[in-house]
Amino acid sequence: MPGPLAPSSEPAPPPRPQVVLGAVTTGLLNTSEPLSLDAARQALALVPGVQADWRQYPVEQVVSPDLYFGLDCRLFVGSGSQPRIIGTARARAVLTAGHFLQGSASVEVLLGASKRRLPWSHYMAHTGVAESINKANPADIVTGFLRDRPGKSLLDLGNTGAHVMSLLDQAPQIDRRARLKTQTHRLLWAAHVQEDAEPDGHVDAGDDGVFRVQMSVTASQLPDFMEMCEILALHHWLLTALKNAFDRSSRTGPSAERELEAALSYLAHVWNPRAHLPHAMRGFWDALEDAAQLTWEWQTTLTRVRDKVSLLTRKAIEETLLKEVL
Amino acid sequence: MVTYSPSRAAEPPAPVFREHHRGTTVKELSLSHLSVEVGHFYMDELENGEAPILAQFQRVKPWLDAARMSAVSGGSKPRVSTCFLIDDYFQSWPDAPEIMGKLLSLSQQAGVTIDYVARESACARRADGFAVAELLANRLLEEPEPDQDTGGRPPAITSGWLSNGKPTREAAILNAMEAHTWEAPLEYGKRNHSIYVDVELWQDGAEPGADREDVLGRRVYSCPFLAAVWQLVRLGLLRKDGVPALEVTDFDGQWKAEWSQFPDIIKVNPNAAPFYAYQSLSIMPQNFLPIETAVRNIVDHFVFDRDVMAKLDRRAQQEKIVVPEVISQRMSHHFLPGGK
Repeated sequence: MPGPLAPSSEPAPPPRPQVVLGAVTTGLLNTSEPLSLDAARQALALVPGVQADWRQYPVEQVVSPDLYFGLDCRLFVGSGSQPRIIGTARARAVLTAGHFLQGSASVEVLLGASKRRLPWSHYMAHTGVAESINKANPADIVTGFLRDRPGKSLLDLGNTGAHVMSLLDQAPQIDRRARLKTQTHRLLWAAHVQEDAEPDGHVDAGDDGVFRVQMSVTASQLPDFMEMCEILALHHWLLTALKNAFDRSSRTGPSAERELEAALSYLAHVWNPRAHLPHAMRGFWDALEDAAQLTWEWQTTLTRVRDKVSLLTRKAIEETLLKEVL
Repeated sequence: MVTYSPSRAAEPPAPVFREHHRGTTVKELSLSHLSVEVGHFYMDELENGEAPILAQFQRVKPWLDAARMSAVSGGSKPRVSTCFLIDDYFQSWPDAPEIMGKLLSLSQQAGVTIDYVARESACARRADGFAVAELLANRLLEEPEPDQDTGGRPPAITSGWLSNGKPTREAAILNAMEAHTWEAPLEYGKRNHSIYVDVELWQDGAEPGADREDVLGRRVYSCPFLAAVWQLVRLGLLRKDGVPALEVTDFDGQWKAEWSQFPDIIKVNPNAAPFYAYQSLSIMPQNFLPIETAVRNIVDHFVFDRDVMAKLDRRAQQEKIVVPEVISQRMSHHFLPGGK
């Protein structure tokens, strides 16, 4: 005998988030040599029972399973009251070339979804989404989030990404003996989700060294956009790390060679922003390259580093020869 | 005449080179519409006389029939399977074959066919030694504190407790200068009034600083925690490497002498509908109500795997079945009136 239909009627299609906010933190994995693909896959299996995703060509990359963080906090907006959001942020660790670690966190924001905090099971049925209790203008939220001034009880996805990175600190695969001094970087992004939107946006380089990316995208382009932000964050970090090593080498005197050697062996081979760049983001990337010329700057800096290493080597040889002659 | 044709963005060409290895591929499961748990006994009750066991199965029978009639099946013939969980985690006595024989014949006598038998111990650690309970322990997310959690709180649960809010604060721990001597507990998702629930998930017996293997080896899981594992396994939601965390083995015709030698889930009825199901029903004596409340609290904090959920959703859609989004709403209970 056929059973009755469900007691509840067909659920309405889930409301679409109007805004998606994200942060990518990037740094050097604290290990002397890059992890092999196998070691990286073990280290990034951050959720028991789920293996990490990976690719091998042209640059090895391993992506951890998603992790979730509870949110009940405020969003900064320029005027009016700060909307309160409740839900979960989604985050993952990405390891590129066995050495460059990123914590990538995001949250889809549903505006004006409810009037009070609902039972937690409601939010757990829609992970990666946070619902705002009060109404707000999507454009204000995008601007407010990218402003990124620390404030009590304001959403801080950079912190989420940093936490994901810290999960690898205790991994048995790493020896905690990286030879290059670097700093962790943060990139912020915000997407205004609009159907029929062509990927259209811009990148702001702030005086605090943070890149801020803003874009209008369709819901289906979101994963591509997020991946592009991770690629941009990684390459901005690589460029900064190489430039900093070069600058330090001018100041440090005798240890200059060691500094440059580490920079060359760690960083020189990995510049390839188009390696995993999603097809839908190529147009935007080309426009960005045209304006910011990151690849040109990388090549120039790399040439300067190599020239300096050649000069230092020649000097060292000459000194040795001189000693022998004397 | 002016015709207007919108410019179309060129379709992106098919990629020449593709590579993206999924670490885990989720297995497609055969699913029943409903999984019914037909009663529950503590081990000492199974050891004792036959009459109370038969009586419970007789009380289960009409509700099992009702469940078969009301299973949500999208218009097709309902697939309903029954299961029974053996309580062998907290006490386990060595006459397993005798108990199994008694259990199956008494249930049959009451008209209740048991399709699958599982062991509660397997919900903690599988027959092959894998720590199943830790799959759930690592997928629990504590509720954020109102207006406090900005995204940086580590999601891992270290205390062994899981609540739905903020506990009572007593005078002793408040600053002596403060006017209030007592602060009420709070359920974060309350409607008007709070029902604050705090559930013990496990107790750790290892010394502080012990390594993880030692900690897990001496961890004792609570009954609601293992029951939450059991519910999530039945619903096909708890997986290891894409396959169910506990898998079904056909009965080989002979019961092993020790419970620990039993497979994790045994199919005792060869003609049974699939073990895993879109929805679950547990029929049990009403003294289990507090435990099941705790189970729901745990399940309400479970982070599902997106790929697993997407596969289940797609399958339900194909079968024209509406499955509630909230996992604990897929679980229902019937508590038998009276004592045990």
